[in-house]
Amino acid sequence: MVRRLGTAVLMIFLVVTFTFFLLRLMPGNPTLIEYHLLLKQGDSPQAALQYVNALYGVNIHSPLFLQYLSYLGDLAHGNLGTSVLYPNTTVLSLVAAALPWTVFSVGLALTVSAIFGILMGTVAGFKRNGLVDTLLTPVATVLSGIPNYLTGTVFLFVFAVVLAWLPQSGAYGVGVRPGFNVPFLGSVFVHAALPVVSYAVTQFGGWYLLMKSSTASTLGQEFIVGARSRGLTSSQVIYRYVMPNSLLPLFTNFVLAIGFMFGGSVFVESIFSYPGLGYLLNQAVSNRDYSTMEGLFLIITVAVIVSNLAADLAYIKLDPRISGEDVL
Amino acid sequence: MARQHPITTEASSGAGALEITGLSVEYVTKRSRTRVIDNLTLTLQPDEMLGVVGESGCGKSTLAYSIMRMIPPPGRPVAGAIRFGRHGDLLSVPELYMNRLRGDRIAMIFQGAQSVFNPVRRIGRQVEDVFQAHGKDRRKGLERARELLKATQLDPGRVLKSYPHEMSGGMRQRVAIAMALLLDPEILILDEPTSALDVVSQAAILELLVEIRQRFHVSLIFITHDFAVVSSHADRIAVMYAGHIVEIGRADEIFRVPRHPYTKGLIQAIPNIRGPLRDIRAMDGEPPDLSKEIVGCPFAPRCPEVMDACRSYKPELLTIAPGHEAACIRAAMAEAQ
Repeated sequence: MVRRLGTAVLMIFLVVTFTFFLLRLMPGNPTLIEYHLLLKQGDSPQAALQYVNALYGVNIHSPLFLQYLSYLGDLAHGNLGTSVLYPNTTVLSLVAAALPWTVFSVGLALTVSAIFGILMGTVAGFKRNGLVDTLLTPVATVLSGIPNYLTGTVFLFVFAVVLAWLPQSGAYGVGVRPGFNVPFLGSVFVHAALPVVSYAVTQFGGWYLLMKSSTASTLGQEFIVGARSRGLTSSQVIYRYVMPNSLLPLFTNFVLAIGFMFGGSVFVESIFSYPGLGYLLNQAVSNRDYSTMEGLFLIITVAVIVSNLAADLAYIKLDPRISGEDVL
Repeated sequence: MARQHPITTEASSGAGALEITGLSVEYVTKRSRTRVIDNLTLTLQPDEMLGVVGESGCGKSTLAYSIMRMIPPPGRPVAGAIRFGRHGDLLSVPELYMNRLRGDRIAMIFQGAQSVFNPVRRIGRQVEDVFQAHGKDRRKGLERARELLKATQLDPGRVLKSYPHEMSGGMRQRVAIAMALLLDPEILILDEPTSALDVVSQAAILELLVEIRQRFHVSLIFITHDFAVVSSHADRIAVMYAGHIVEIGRADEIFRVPRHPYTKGLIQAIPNIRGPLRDIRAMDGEPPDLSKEIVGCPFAPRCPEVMDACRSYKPELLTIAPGHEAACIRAAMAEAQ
């Protein structure tokens, strides 16, 4: 366990370091651009330097390594820095504003698609070549093969542009007052509908196919024949013998998917201008907002690593064949 | 759950008797039609132990699955009947009724004892499941399981709390046997119960079966490819080849005076630890392809005593001595002289 935690911390540290240097190795440092812009406007080098330092908290003349150390020092204090794109706004407050929208939309899509996929996949796994299997398997195969930005674009075009049933962008309407009131909540759901559905439709296929094959392979195992030979009822066989085993691999996938959720869905959120973490990341990248990018990458990394740990820990609890020593 | 079909459990005359008549089982796919059991007739007497011997692919496991009515698809019985006392023909009772008989009146033990238990459920819970399925009290069920586990030389408290992977192969097979006896079945089918085990566990399991026969009224069908295993324990032996019974009779008699050349071959293939090594003889050739029609005796191509008539005439089981039948022209001719 201690070793696992150590590896996790080391991984996070490496990602932070790589992000920091990679970003600065790319051409087009926004602080330098600002500095040269000020010089051109006739400011003295000192004044320009001071201005940039005050604005971004960066001394552009100090060596990169010292900048890196001061960045690490800030991180250690929980300070993710100030946004380059929105001066005077901390990265933390940007993330705090975007996070709920991502957790809500991607989380909802993940839950809905997993529940439907698992239910339908179980039915299809039990009744091979039955109605559900025949109808859904080709559909799910196609759906899981289409990237969500394509589904999203099609949905945007059909339902928001041509039919104009649903809004094209944003998280809620302009006129509504945020808070716990019906018009706001209604507006939230109407705005989330298209992003959630585009995301869920793509994910559903994966859950369905995975659950179908997991159910089918569990059904083929000898202990199912053994259970039937003892005259167990079909509901006992399904709920106590098949599903606890067929759900095991899906469970790991689900916990991992929760981790990846924090990356948001960059494409879907960008297509619908949905103000979640993915949209924020897209904006940060296109505007070379170093500190926001660093902050987001850090959050994504931590989320993925933590969900990996959580999946392993939960697996020890769920599968008696796995002991703590095997995993940790 | 309310019982829809009451199943009587009291021992009546003929309990444990099974009458299989004209059973044929086919595996049908779009391209082929394989008859793995062909017109098989067999009677199991109350409280007897019948050994069923044959090479792999001769249909002995399919026979077991037919009695449980659990033939894996696409296999299905196409003719015949399996009469089981008052319960009638097992091939035609409703599935719900058949499922009540499984584990209650007829139990089965498999070769893969390693994996007949749900890997993520404790043995105790799996015992309770059996009692719950058959509408019986779970608490009493655990009591019964304790007795049986003690009888199989296991520590009941530990076993009931264990997950399957926490036990050795030999232990699991004992647990499987204890579990099969939970509801006092009339018939116990053992499909190669010892072949996945080491020699010591094999001997222990066989000893356990002898004990079970003394303590419980149960008819046993013991399926094996190992003649030596059944010859000393079974009352009668049925030798199967290519979906047929080719010889059946009292175990000692079959072992002493085998009449079918296939039986003779199987007996010669038993290694004798005391005799000289050169006496062991493996049989040449392979069992026939059952998806093609077989003309004449199915064993003819491998038979050391083959005659011209064997290639065109299919022999039926004929009584050679009281209680001893063989399906061989040569054996029948010898009897006629």
